[in-house]
Amino acid sequence: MSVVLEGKKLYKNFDGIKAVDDFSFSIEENRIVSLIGPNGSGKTTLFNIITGFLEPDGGEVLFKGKPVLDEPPHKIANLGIGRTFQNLRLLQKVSVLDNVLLAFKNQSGEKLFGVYFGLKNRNEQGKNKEKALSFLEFVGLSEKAEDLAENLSYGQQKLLTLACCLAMDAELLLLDEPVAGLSPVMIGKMFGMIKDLQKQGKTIFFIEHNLKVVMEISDKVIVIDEGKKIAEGEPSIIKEDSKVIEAYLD
Amino acid sequence: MNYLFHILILIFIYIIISVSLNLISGYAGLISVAHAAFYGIGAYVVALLALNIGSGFIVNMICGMLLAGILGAIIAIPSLRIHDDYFVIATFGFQIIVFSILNNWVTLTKGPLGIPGIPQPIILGISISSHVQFLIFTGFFALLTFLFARRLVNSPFGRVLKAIREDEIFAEALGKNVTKYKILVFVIGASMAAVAGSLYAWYITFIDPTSFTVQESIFMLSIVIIGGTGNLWGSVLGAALLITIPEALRFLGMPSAIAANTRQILYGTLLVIFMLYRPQGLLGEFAFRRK
Amino acid sequence: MLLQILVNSLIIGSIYGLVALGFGLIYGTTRFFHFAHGAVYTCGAYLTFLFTVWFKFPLFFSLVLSIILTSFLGILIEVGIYRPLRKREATSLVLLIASLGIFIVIQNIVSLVFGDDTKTLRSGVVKEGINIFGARITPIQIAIILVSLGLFVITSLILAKTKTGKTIRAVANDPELAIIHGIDTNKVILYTFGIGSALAAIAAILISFDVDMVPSMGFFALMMGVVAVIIGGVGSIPGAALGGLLLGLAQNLGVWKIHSKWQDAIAFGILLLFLLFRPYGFFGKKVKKVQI
Repeated sequence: MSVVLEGKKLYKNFDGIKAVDDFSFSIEENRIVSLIGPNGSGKTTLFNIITGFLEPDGGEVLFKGKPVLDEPPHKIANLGIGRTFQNLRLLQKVSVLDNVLLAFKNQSGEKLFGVYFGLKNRNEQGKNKEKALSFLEFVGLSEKAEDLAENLSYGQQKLLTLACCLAMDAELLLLDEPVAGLSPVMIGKMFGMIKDLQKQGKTIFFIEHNLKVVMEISDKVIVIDEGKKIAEGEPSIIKEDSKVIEAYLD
Repeated sequence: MNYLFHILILIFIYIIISVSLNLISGYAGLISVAHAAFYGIGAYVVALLALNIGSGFIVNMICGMLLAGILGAIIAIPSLRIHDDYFVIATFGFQIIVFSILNNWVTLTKGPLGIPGIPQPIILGISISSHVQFLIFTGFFALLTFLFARRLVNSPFGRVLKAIREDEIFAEALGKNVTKYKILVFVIGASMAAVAGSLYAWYITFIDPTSFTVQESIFMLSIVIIGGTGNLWGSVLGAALLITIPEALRFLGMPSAIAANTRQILYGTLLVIFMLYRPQGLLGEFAFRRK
Repeated sequence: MLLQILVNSLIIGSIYGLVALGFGLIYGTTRFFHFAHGAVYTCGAYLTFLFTVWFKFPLFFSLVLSIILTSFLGILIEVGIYRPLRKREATSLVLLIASLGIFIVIQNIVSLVFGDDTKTLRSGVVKEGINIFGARITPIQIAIILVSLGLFVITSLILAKTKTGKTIRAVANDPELAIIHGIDTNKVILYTFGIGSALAAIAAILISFDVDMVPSMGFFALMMGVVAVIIGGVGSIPGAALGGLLLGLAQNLGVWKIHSKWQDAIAFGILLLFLLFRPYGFFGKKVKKVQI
């Protein structure tokens, strides 16, 4: 099993607080791995480091064996890492379909030359539209394609961000609290979708607080507390780990 | 009748200015107060080349566009690494430096005296000189730049611009090189402003640095903001309104000394009112969003 | 010659420093570029002119009244326009644009009321100045330096020792944390506008006793103040002083070696260099980019 994402001895200091402290981890290909820990333990900070939005004070991040720390976020995204955000980033004033269309890579219409002289433009746009609609169908939003994103419910917007990751052709998905704030029905939907994505060959690394979902769906659980990794392993083992229980009861 | 044409010609020139600034500030969300500098560069390049080298008008205009574009890139590339608020300051700095050069490098630009006698374009043997001819000439360029801008904003490129404006982190996370887009838009906008500058120079046949000040840049920004950020028709409307209303005031007999101040008080007040009650402008669809 | 340059730099640098101090104080708590500060500055000088020259009030009374009214003007702008905008979650760019609008309106009102011709608060002829070690300096110029120094010291003490000062620093450091600690940020912002605008008024009045005044004086002073803040580092008081002095020095050196007409370009050339290579200035704290 090859390792898709690897972090080695990551450090990040914020005004004296160690947000990430000597943190090493690995994510194997096609696995569903979750990252859990109390509030403020450094989870989103870690995601920001991996995706290039934050520079760590030390350590390495390797994606498929290649170091990615010096790359800007857009380059890392183009390597195949897609992510969603805790505070649900989307284009509200734009249609659901356009949000997904934005995510496609290598659009000739996005290049200046392509805007005015792109002959293959129309063809490409047509193909992308088809693919976009299929992604929307996968997440169950195809009826809402022409609606403005802001008119979707919170849960539907979360599904939309997932569709965008798919349109990016990401092989590694970093999901920041994908089921937070969702109704039980929606949680089940998201749950199912994550499993489907695994069947499609994708690797998923997600942050969650909902321990029930985490334990049911994960192949591996990584636990972080005050920036340090305190446990890593299969859900059944993590559940019984005393350090984990202590961290959550604290 | 000629007076009416004069107003229309000015409106056409300002449409080019506001559309180009809208691309930068309205669509990409980069507030720039350097637009008058690029406008001035277009005007001066055209004037100096025509008078010193005698080259043709198209060549001159393209040179102006190139210079504006290159300077735009030089300013934008390093500035965009810093926070957006600082970018405004950088454009301020650039604007003042350009004005300073236009006003003080007397051997090159004749300084405060300005450059008179700018030759007007000759197309197929016809000299563009009358009001009607300029009306058609500037109208043509206004239409051209409008269509150019419209094609841009309705394309996937334009979609990325909208994404940058609304949530640039989202755009970056989707793999879009946000900085590259910002630089491109700034360069394009700068070049288009130079086109407007060329038209102005040919029409008035006399240019001096007082037309290319910071106050003028702020005025241009007001047109975009009041007309509507992120909406090209808003730029047309804004240009039409903010050119006609002050002229109407002058027409009504207001002494010109007071008129200048009143005009500025008018658009200053409009800026404040719009920011308070309608930050997206008249036709704009987007109000500078919190990041 | 060199000494004269230093003296001149000290004089104008003090003025820039004062403007930078007031501007920086306001920026520290509000986090946007309050361009209208330049117009507030102008009002300080013109109100004094109104009271002393037109109304013929006694000098001391006019000074105090102008400073208080100008301080009040700054507060009025905050309460009347910035605060409602902040309530509507306006971004710093929206505030900046509104600020530009306010600036334009105030400057043009001053222009309409007083005219664009140069005025001055000086009564009598321009004095030649005392000779100190070969450099000339007039009493008012000495006053400029001493008053500025005094104001810097007082402001630093206020910020360091008083309760108000400490809350100002808390809000400037971390506004969210300050709210959590129960600090009324709106009140704190009010204080900074009051103090900052008063500082601007004093600077404008001082310079108007030395040289002439025009309605556009505020624009120029503000630009210099902004450059000084950026050079010295946003959020730093000694930085504002250092920035002001350096800018004064650079301009005077420039005037000496190159023609004085280039002083704007020099100032902004320095600004651009700093923005490009050292945007945090000498002492500034890192400007927070976006919160992810």
